[in-house]
Amino acid sequence: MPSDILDSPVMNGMPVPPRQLRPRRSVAVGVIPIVYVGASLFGLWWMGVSPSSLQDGFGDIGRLLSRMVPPTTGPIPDLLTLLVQTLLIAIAGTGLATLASIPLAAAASSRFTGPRPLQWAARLVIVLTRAVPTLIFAIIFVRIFGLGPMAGGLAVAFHSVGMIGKLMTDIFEEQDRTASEAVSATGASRLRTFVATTFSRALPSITGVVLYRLDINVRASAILGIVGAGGIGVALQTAIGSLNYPRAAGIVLVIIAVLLILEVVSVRLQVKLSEHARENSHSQLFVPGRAVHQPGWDRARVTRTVLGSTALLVFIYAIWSLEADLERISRSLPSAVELVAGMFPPEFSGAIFLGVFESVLMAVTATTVGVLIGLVIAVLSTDLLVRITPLAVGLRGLTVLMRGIPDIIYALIFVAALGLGPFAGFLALSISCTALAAKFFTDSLQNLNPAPLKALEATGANRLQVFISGVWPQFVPSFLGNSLFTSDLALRESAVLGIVGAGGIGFLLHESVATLSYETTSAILISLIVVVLAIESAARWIRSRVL
Amino acid sequence: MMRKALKISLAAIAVGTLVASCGQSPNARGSDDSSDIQELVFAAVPSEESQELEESFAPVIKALEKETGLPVRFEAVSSNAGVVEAQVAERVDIAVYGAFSYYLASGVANVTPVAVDQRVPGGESGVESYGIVRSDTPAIAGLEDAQGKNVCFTDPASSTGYLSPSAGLIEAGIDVESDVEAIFAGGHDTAVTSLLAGDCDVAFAAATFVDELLPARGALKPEEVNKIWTSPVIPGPPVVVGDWLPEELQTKITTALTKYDAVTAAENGFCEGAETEAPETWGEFAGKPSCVWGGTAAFAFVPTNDEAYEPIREICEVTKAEVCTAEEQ
Repeated sequence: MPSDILDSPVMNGMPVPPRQLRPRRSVAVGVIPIVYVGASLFGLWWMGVSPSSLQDGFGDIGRLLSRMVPPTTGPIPDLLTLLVQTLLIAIAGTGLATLASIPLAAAASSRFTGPRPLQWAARLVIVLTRAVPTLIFAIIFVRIFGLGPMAGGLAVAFHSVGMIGKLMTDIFEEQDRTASEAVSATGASRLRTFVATTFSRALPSITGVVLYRLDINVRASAILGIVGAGGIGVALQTAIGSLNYPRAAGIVLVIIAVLLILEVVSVRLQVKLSEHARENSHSQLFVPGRAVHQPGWDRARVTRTVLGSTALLVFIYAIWSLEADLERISRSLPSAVELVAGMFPPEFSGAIFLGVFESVLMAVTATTVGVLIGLVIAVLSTDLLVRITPLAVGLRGLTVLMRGIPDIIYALIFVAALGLGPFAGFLALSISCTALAAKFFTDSLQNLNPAPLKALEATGANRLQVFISGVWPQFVPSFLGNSLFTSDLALRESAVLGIVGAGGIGFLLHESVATLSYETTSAILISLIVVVLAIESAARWIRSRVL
Repeated sequence: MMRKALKISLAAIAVGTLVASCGQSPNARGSDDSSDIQELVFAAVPSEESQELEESFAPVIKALEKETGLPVRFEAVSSNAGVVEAQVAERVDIAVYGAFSYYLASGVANVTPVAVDQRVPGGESGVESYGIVRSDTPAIAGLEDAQGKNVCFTDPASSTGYLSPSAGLIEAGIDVESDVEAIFAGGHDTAVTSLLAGDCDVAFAAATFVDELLPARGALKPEEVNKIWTSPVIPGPPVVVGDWLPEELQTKITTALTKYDAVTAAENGFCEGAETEAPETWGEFAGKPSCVWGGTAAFAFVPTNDEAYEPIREICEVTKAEVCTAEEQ
């Protein structure tokens, strides 16, 4: 259908003349950010954010930070053991989630041509797993499977399906349809068409998503120890709980170091894996300058195979290290049933709605702040508009540093400095949203199709003109998509921050689990799921408008 | 289309600014000048027994507001570090947290314990913890038998779930670091359920969890576990007041806390519509309408002071626990 081609995204497909896209785009592009800004203004008022309250807090932030130096680590071997366990939990969880996400995302994507109920079921699974924070999954799995890394790995896996599945769906949907239409026209089966066109071309983007989720998961696993699900969280929790800030700072620095290494590996892998990074980013099927079919082993293929099988081996080792005990699992089924039964009927209350409302407000406001600052950082750290390599490298490092510190630590610092309440949570979230948005935006700016840019440059356009006409129109879909994604990630984070007194639903959620009031827990979870679903539908609506 | 979008956007901005420009937000902070106190902030960390934290402190808040004449804002926080830090920054005036948290806080914040809960009229205040084993493991009859076994604690910053039990183990000749496989379950409930599930051979948890909370939830049947150890009484969670408040105000706060008990609070209407019947154990008060008084549903608050928390210091000296030595100042 010709309209399909016109509607198809510009990211991976053929560039579409802008005049055909403009009228349809402007509505969503204009409304959504402005609604966010409006809600954020209300949010700022609700949380009592003011320059004077910020100023008051600086001294206190300084005093707390001064108590963190010099960072110490305690016995190094103990820490390393916990760190390795944390990494293995993250790897096993991410790997399991990736495997589960491929069929789920394929079914959930709007390109799915199979039975509708299957599509809805896949979407439901993705939304549900995304709505429940990793920590809550961990609490549930600790009850079911007992203490230790297995509960942690499964918690990470379940929650990650929500994100990996969602982003994979987006990747599949963003693809140009011509290739798959061409292949299916030859009479290939649905599965074959999917593997040969959609999946193979999505692989570089998927690798990016998986690696990114892996680093989120390293941080998520780092706090799982709080509920007994293994990893370095035990040490971190002990340090913070006993006010041993130098130790906490030391542990956080170790986590940051690991994340930095992961970032370097991730960037290098992405370059290696995507044959069409930067230069030929639009089509893998029709790679220019290279034979379409190249039988035998070339260097790229060897590299990919080696990397792929190494990843697979590490993943298998990680799974094995979770110490899954099949006999134990079969024994624990009754306790799982009991736990779930205890969740019914859900007990809603005004306090829950107020708490969820506050969490949403914190998340939306923090997203707006994060997206604005993140965009600036992303533009400065890619070479599209500004070409200062040291600045780009520095900013990339800074975002990793910002993301390396778990939100809950930021929240703790701000609670100390600014008092209890949502203000502290909002600031903590703003930092992580900024880092997240900067990361997303940088990645998608780097994956842009360079052809229009080159064309514009050839006409003698200056860099600003190239950016406005060549980069921005291409970037808008992923800008909006990633912003919305940031906001719904922020929502889940804001649902946990209440644990340290930073506002939102977190406290009630934590209290209900600690006092075994599962009816309240389930009511909170249902409310969160409804909110995430609402954001999800808004996002879908926007995608349908923009893409 | 464009026009509609513009209208929606303008409306959103208008609503945002309108709301923001008029009236105080529910979370606005008062002035930082301590000579001009507009509001007291009361924070509570749930101790082992707490349920419905905010509700249970509502009558106490009313008593405080009546006696001090100041509005009191309640904050429930589940991390002791959050509250202690807020106290270091002098942003939480009154707080309730566990004995060990007070011990830690006393090293960094200028605070004094003024009152502690009393469960029954004239009774002792304080909490106990239990060492328990599954009733099908008779081989472990006392802490001495824990040698080489998997032992579940709650978390390292809990006096009932870790500190006191490690002191008990040390007295029984067992080094927590090297002689047992220590597992931190994260909570009292998880410590017990992990024991039942077979993840550990011995578990330590606050007495109320084993005696009341878990059985009431159906998560534990009394015949499933054997008690092999009971801790000495550990001081209860204190109400801690900031030294930066004017002395007169500190006195008023202590008075407000100790002047009423669960029954007289009900008579004063501090929990109108939410009165409960006083339990049997309250002797002459049994059956009278009473308020749920504080996080532990105690009978009253009685005065206390820093010395009452000496036992925690002693435990720290016995165990030389690493958690005790943080930030020695």
